[in-house]
Amino acid sequence: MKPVITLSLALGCLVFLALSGGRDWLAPADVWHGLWSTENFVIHVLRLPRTALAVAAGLALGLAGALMQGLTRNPLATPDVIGLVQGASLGHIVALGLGTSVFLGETVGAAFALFAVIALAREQGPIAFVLYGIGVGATASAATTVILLRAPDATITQMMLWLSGSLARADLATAGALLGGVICAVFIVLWRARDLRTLWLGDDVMTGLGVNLPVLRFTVLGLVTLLTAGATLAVGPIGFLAFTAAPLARAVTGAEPPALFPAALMGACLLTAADLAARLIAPLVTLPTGLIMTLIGAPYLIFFLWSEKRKTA
Amino acid sequence: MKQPLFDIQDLTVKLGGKRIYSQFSAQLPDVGITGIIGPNGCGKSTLLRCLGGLTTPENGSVRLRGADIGHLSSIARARQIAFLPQEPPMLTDMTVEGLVAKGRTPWRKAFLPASQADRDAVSQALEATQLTELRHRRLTALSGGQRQRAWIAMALAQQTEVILLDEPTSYLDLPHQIRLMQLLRDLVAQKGQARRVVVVLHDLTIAARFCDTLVGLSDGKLICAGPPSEALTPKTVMQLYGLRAQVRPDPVFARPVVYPEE
Repeated sequence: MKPVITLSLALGCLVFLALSGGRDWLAPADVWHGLWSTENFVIHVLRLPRTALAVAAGLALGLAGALMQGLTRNPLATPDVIGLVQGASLGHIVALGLGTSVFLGETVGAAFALFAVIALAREQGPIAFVLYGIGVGATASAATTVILLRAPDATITQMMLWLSGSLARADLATAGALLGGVICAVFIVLWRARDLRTLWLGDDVMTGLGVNLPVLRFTVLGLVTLLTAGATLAVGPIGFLAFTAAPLARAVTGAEPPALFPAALMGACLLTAADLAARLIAPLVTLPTGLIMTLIGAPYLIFFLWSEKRKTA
Repeated sequence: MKQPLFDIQDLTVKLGGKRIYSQFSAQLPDVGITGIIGPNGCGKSTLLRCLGGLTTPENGSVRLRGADIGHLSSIARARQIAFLPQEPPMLTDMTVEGLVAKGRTPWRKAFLPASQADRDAVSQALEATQLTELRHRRLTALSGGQRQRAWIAMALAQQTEVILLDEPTSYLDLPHQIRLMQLLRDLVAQKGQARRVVVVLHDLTIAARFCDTLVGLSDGKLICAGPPSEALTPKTVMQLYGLRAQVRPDPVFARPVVYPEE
């Protein structure tokens, strides 16, 4: 319980900071009053939607990452590292072209990438997940670009911004819908908590503890697919967030695996902080939040692989 | 005859296209510790997995005190049988207490926090395995023997009548092997609880010293079953391992010890 409270407080502070900070800094009192009067343009139009969206998408991706890592017992097997996010993006573009629901397209794309990687990497160890994931992700990205190049010019500019993971076009409705989805996911996690608590223990121990593995796998993979699709739809493909959130949450708070809620909260903290950083570094241009996240997450991936090498050496 | 603990009838098991058991029948008597012995690849682990319901046989049945475990729900089974695999996973960031609490899984209820009964079971399991003082330690900071005890504590917290262990002594040095087996003896000797342990063992001296019954398997066939002094003879050692040997009682406990002649 303690890690969840600690990280909730940290998230609260970060949200307040994100509402105050930007091209112009607002005094804490102004932020507080601005929140309650609907007329404050800076807060209600510029900052609140972005921040709400960062929190919702961060929660979704952090939770999805921790679920996936626990199920596969592989710290590298997260939606962003193994190509789910890229699959969802491809699904998004294809759905736009076909004129069907983009969320459906994203879900199908993410699910397709997920099952491709799981089927390919079966029983080949943790690194295989990443390698196949990179392959699947790169294929999906390339296909996305090809399809995009054939689209009308107006769509291209808009989609390029989305593809770099930007929160600039955030609106409260999207943030609210995503937050609603995350709340549903939290409810499912609480409902299935008995089984989910045994993640990381491995198939044999889990079966011995009475966990119905097929049901658990279906629940986890379904949640991961929907959370990834929802978050990607809202903010574009954000890399390395799902991957970094859970290990960072455990390192900071000492939470024990699977640490699902701490990971979700840490994801929200990370994305809120990354978005604030993006706005502070380049207030006049729209610097993509996804870029900042990659700047934080990619070095961590390198560090992780390096420390794994030292462990086995 | 007393009702057996496990009654295995006409068991047929295939793993990866290979037939491990064919029409295998055996009964494990209702005694404290039953040891399963035999050469590598003889099907010891497979039999243990069938007893625990982890491997579903192609044919045949496994009954625990008369009840077919194939008909039990996974939760009902986990409230009666605890199982530990040969190599439990390495877990970073997990504390001893955190791991032991996972043993309460089959008893937990959705949406509710751990009950007083859950907490009591965890502290009892920690005490029985002498881990109370180490309960806040990370698993990675423990010795091999302590870590093995932590896993056994998890199985104890499950509060099952039967505990199945697959080679729990494999990676331990001699004093830790002895201590672990003594722990198992204490567990089955505890008053007011009819706890039973079925354990796969490699070391015949350890097996003969601490088990009440030995079950010898070779190539999916039952070779011997009974108290160590009856189960371990030159004839059964030959049948089990293809090894010429003498079997003599040890001078301290008068348990049979195998002396290979080759």
